[in-house]
Amino acid sequence: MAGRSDAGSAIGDRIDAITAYFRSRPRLRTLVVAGPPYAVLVLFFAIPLLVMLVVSFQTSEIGGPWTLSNYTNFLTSETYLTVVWQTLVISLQVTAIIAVVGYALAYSIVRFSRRTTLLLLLVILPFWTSYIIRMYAWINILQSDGVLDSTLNLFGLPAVGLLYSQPAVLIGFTYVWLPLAILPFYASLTNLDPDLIEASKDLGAGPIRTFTSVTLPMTKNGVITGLILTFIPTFGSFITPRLLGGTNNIMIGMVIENQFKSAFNWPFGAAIGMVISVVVVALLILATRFGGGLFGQRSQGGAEA
Amino acid sequence: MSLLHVSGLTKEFGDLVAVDDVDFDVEDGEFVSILGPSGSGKSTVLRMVAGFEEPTAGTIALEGEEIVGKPPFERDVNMVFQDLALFPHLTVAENIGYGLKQQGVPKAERRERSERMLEMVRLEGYGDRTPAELSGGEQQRVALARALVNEPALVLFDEPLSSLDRKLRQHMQTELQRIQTETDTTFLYVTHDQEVALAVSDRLIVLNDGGTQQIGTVEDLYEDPASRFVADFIGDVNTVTGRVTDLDDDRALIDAGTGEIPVPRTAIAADVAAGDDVDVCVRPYQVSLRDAATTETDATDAFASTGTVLSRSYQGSDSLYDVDTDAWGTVSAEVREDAFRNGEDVTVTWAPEHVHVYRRDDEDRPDGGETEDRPDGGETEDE
Amino acid sequence: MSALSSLSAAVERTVHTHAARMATAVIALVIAFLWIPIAVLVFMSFAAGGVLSFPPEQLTLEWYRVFLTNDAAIDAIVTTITISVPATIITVTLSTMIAYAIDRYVFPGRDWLQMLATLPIIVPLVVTGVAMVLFFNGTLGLPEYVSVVVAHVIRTIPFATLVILPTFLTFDRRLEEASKDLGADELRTFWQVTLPNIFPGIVAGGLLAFTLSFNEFVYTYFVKGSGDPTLPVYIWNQIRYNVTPEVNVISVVFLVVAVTMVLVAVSLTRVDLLTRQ
Repeated sequence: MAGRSDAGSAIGDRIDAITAYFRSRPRLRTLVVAGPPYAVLVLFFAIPLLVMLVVSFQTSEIGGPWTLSNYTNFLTSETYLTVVWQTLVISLQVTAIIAVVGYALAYSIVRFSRRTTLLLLLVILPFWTSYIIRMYAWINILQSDGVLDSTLNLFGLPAVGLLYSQPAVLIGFTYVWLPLAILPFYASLTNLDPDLIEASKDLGAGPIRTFTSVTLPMTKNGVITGLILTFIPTFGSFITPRLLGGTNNIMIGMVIENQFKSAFNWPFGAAIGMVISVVVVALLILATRFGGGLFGQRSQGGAEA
Repeated sequence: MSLLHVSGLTKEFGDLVAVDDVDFDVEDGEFVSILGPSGSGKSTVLRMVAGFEEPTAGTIALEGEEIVGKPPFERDVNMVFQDLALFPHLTVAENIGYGLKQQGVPKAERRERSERMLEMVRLEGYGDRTPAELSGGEQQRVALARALVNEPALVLFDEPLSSLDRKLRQHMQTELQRIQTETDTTFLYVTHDQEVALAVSDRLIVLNDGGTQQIGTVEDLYEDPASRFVADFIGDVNTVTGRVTDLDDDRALIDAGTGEIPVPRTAIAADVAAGDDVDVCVRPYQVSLRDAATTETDATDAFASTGTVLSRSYQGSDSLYDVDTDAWGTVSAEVREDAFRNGEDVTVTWAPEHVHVYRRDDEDRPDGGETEDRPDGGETEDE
Repeated sequence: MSALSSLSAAVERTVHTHAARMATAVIALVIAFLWIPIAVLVFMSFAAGGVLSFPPEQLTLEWYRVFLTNDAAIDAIVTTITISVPATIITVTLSTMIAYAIDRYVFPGRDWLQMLATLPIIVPLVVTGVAMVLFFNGTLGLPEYVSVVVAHVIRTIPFATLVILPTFLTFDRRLEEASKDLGADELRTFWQVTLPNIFPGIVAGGLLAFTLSFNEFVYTYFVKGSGDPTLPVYIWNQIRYNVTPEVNVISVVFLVVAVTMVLVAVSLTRVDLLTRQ
């Protein structure tokens, strides 16, 4: 790319002129760089969500007359409210399991392992394979006479046939969200100064006291972020309960799927989508108040807490 | 015509005046240092010369041509950055050849000139390594070679030696002088480290709070500091307080608590008037110590006080004593004799012609201890 | 000393003594939990006995042959790639612009841009999927292919940005000043200094975006009509309606794609970049 040839110098001058033009117009420069992604995200992400809000107030088809019936139908139906309750219970159970298992794992890796990169990779890799495939693997394992039952048989234990039960759903969710939730746990723990833990022990606190009075409070933000990353997608999920839960473990995401794939009542589906969104927004506000930063670089784990 | 002529240079960041009406010249072939504590505006001056900051007011002329408003890549100056800024994705030779490439120099010639530069900085055969494979001192040399190979009118240095340990820094100082002489290039060097500046510079520009305090040779600054700030900042100094009781064209009478002492007018700053409170500064090496028992303490033609030796530290050929004087508190004396012991009573004296007298102004005292190690961080502003 | 406090002291001491062993056990158990299902899939793809029978009587490559001669499955892979490749290119371009804007410029709405680029991770997929089908298909009437590609772009932007932004934030901008000081203008500085230094991060972001897009199911499931299914949609139909043993083989395909992409991406950056929030 050494010196411009004579033939290219006209183009070169042109480029120089354009560069100079932008150099003197910082605002235009910002607009050219930030504008397109901004536009894409607003048009294809934010506006669709607003459209969903609008449609949720329309009768049976898009553009129909305004109504509140989608919401009243949903909120007065005992069946649907039971589904919401069940979804909430399952999501909370999954979040609790992830909190314990995920934090224990992240803590073990950060504090007791030297091969952190390899271990982290082993944890993250499954997240990058297909969600459905991962569920399918568990069907293989959990179904009657599947891998689990056959293994139990080998040891002379009775078969359990877990597939299509709530434990199966919990296992499935734990499996898919664990790799994602570990990342913020891990990040906040690596940012924690190990000297603080040693100082606590030096001052007479045992490992459990140190954990509850130093480690956990200082990694609070990372924990909250990880739990949000578990609870919200679980609350809106339909694949896992559909494939592993059978008919006794209906979750709200399945109701939406049903409206779009077989009942074809889009406004009603949109209203349920709004119900989920309200729960999500409420949770995010709550989480932000308790310090879990999900946006931006401000939240580098719990080191500044 | 000076190589670099800076006049009325001012830079404001919002309400903060980082550089305030600075004038100076750099002559062809000179080694000039800009010296000042953190926040004195010295890096900002350098960045304006390089083209990374635009001045709020003032002019910068290089070889007679105004360069304010030109982007950095059109200025015939090259910089050695504080953190060196070697390109990690390029080899040493490619780093050095980068500027030549921008000028359209053919590859073979680039290679050859890089080689020659590597020889100049004594890194023959290092061309194919990457910067990460070099030691700190070697990286410094590459950064220097990268600037010099373009044969710029002026090479700028933004405290590049501050990250090196003392021994390596001293070695690089002498290398810098050698290379400057061999390449016959003009250097403008910014630092907060007076040791480096005094060792290598032909002339120094002392900045404080964005303004010029003094410009001169090392001897000028040391022997005849223009302000209390300069006296304090360049080398060590004892400062005692006093009052001017009388002043005429030849001498002043100064009472520093030991009676009125006549001091030559040349030792007194121009703005001092009769009746002013003043600081009387004297270098430790101008202070003498005598055995208290054998000296008269009521001398009226010299500053003198009795005191007790607090501590003594060995300094090679000299000894540095801290003495708790009756008149002025602690005074340092750098003397040949090593006969005094801690706790011994002594008389401290110095001649009136060795003092520098400045009007008392508590604000311009540099915070000596703090400025030593701190990088010049707060001066540049993010866009 | 009360009985309770001496008990708690004993527990503390036990935990202290066995902490390292407990940690090793936790790591081993969780890694096993995460990898056994994957091992089962790979193993089952060689099982001769037919669908979902364990343990298999004998091993075979039969299902790989079936898979390779199954036009529907191959078509699904092709369909997926014709969506994932353009979606990845668009995502990488947009994410790079987002990272550049957030790193370099201060402008009104900067925080909003960062939030918008993160939100698609947080909003449940089913909600966004519904919103997209209402807007793309119901309101705009976009062609199916365009809808799906756009959906994939929205799905992958947060992850690509998450990987690309740190490479910008850790890039030493003094290098650009050095380049300009040595005579290169803005454009040349970008090509010769900025891009080579951030390129690994961008490639890593692209590889992860492609992997995610290749796996994308929920948005596609909602937005896509009756046209050719992508591989995840194809496999969903298989699992729900007529499981054949070649599903195991397709699982292995997904695995190989994911592992390859992620390993290359990780080798290009550092794994800890993925842990930045």
